[in-house]
Amino acid sequence: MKKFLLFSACVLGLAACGGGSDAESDPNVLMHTDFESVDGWLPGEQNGGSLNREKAHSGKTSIKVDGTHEFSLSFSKPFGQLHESRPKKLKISAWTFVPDAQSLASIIVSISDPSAPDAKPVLWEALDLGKESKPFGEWKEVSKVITVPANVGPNNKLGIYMWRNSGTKAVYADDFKVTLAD
Amino acid sequence: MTLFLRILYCLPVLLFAGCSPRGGRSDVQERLLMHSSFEDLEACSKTHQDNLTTEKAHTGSVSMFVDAQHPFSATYRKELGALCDHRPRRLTLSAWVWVPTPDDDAVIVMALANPSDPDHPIFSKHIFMTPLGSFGKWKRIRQSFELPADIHANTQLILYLWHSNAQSTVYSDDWELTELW
Repeated sequence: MKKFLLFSACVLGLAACGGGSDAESDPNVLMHTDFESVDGWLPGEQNGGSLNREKAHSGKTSIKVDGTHEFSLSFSKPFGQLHESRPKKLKISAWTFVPDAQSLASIIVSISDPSAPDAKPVLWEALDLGKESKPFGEWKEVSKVITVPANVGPNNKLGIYMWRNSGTKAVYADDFKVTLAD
Repeated sequence: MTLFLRILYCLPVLLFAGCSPRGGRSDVQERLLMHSSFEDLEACSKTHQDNLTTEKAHTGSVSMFVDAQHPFSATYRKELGALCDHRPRRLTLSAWVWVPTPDDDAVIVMALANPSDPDHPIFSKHIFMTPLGSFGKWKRIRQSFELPADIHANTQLILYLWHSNAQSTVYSDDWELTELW
């Protein structure tokens, strides 16, 4: 009985604390950013940038495109920092807030070669939020699975950003996540 | 007291000790105002690449560094009103640092400035890295600051790493700014 009580105390204590972020607990999650930890560190985003505190799906910060921001803040990581080997397929997901059918944007997923910045990207795919974000005016999770080309190496960079298509009202995105989808 | 009674008595303490030291109390608690392990900053910033490295990291794969060629790191700058919904009196900064030798006394600068004159702080303090010893490995430093009375919601909090009198490269990771409130 004594041992049971002590064991229960430990189990209950651990359970009450919960786990860390999903990027820490799920080995298939290669990256997850809610943009909180870059807030305050980017001088160009301090006043009126894409990084904003107007709306957020989690925390206080999200990124946006609108009439004055054609492109959002971009997330970019070398594949070598994401995974030890080349993944075959990746699922890119995000939470987006599209105000109405006239304010449309896309999430762009690209793979580029940093040694050839002017060359055509190895991969460039768009996730049209006009098709994916209905109903409008609320946060919705969107996702896209990409096939990573065979010639992608550890120095190639995965880039994710939002691109305004039409309208001037702000379209928001938060909680970018990259997951193995092999 | 028997062992059984001792365990029964300690049960509530064991349940909460690991997660929330002030569990069940809604008054004063440590609130996290800012944290960065510099992973996302490296991914989102084109301007700070010279101050971030994958040579060493306390967590993840990225840390911030200063050396003779890069004496100042990326700077954190935020209005106090965006961090707190009240007038803060005392803030605490925690960071992990990797200092090669006792001669490498880089510092973390914590300053306050008014937006009308952001380059002339009204308050500035240094967190020194060498007094605690432990060189050539990661160690945690932590310091609290009493804020002056003449601050307001628009006063900017400024944080950065400065090479100062150090001789070699000094690394830092996992910054946390907290307030007891």
